[in-house]
Amino acid sequence: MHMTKQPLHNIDTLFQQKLEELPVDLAQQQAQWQSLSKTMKAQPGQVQTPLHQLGIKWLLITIIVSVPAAFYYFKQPPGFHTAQSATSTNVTQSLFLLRNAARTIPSAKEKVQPQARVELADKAAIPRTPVTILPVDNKIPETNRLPEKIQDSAQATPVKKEKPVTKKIDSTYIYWQ
Amino acid sequence: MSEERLIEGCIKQDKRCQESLYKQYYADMLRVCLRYAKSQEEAFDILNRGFLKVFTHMTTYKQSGALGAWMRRIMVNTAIDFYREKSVREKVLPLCLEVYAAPQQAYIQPEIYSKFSSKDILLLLQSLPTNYRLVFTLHAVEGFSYKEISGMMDIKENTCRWYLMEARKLLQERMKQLLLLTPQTNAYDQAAAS
Repeated sequence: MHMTKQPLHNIDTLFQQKLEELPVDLAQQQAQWQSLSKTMKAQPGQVQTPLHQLGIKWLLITIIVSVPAAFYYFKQPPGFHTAQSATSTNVTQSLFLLRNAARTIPSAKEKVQPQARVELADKAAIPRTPVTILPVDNKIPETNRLPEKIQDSAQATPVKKEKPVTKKIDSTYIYWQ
Repeated sequence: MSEERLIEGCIKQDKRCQESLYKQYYADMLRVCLRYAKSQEEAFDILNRGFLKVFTHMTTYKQSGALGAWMRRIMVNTAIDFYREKSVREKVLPLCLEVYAAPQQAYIQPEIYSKFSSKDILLLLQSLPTNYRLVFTLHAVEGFSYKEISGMMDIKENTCRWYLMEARKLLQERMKQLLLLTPQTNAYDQAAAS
């Protein structure tokens, strides 16, 4: 038996050809479509119309632009916008600034005056400890006492206040007035 | 319904147009998915994920090329992403990364070639490890280059060549085993099996 020599087939070619000819069972087609359509209904966000996508983009742009604009709008002092619309120049803005600055000066004074009053009130409120001035003791130590006669005469004349005794009283020490 | 009307209807999210497109390309796309999947169930999963991408990105389809080719590319990318997500791709690397200039080709006799039906070939392909199967199908069946495959699968070109070489070896061995298992009717078959 002669075996005719035929060219060998590349395994790649074999697989390529056989797989292209592979028969497909269509029995599962309807079931698979129903499964896919359920998935698409469950995930509506994934499958969007171009108009819907465009709407979302515009909404995002509007939000991004409007947030800083709103912040700037509400930051301005009241009444500014009506004047701004009337003049539509920066002069109005500067006038508002000056007015606000002028208002701050008396308000600063008002802040200082009440503050001073408060300080005084605080001082008044501080309880003062009564300072008692002790009377000068006119008593003459016994050893230095003059006789009564002399004492009387001494009393007639203004008596100088004695200095407080700082030294030890010595009986031999006599105070002369 | 013409293809242009189908495309317009799908862009407008018309369910009837979507269903019509699905049924029109079901067989071709399932055939593509079966080459990459390990089983029929996984093939259906990849198929529906691919169609979901097709309907979502229909606006990006530029009518310069055929719709079937565009959808086919989406199915291939979906299959690769599917196995990447599942982390099923085996991290099998060659022990020594030599430069494989041209992986050895595997040849078979034409008589043996005729012994195998399409279903047998599909079963042989699905028996391969995931990475081997993906690389073999992308290169041998789809015709992608090593550079393209390395980009799609995020592997080096050398690794790609190695996977292809190993896939061919395994397929040849398993084809021999299948021939041995099947009853031989004539002498030629017995000779070819040995």
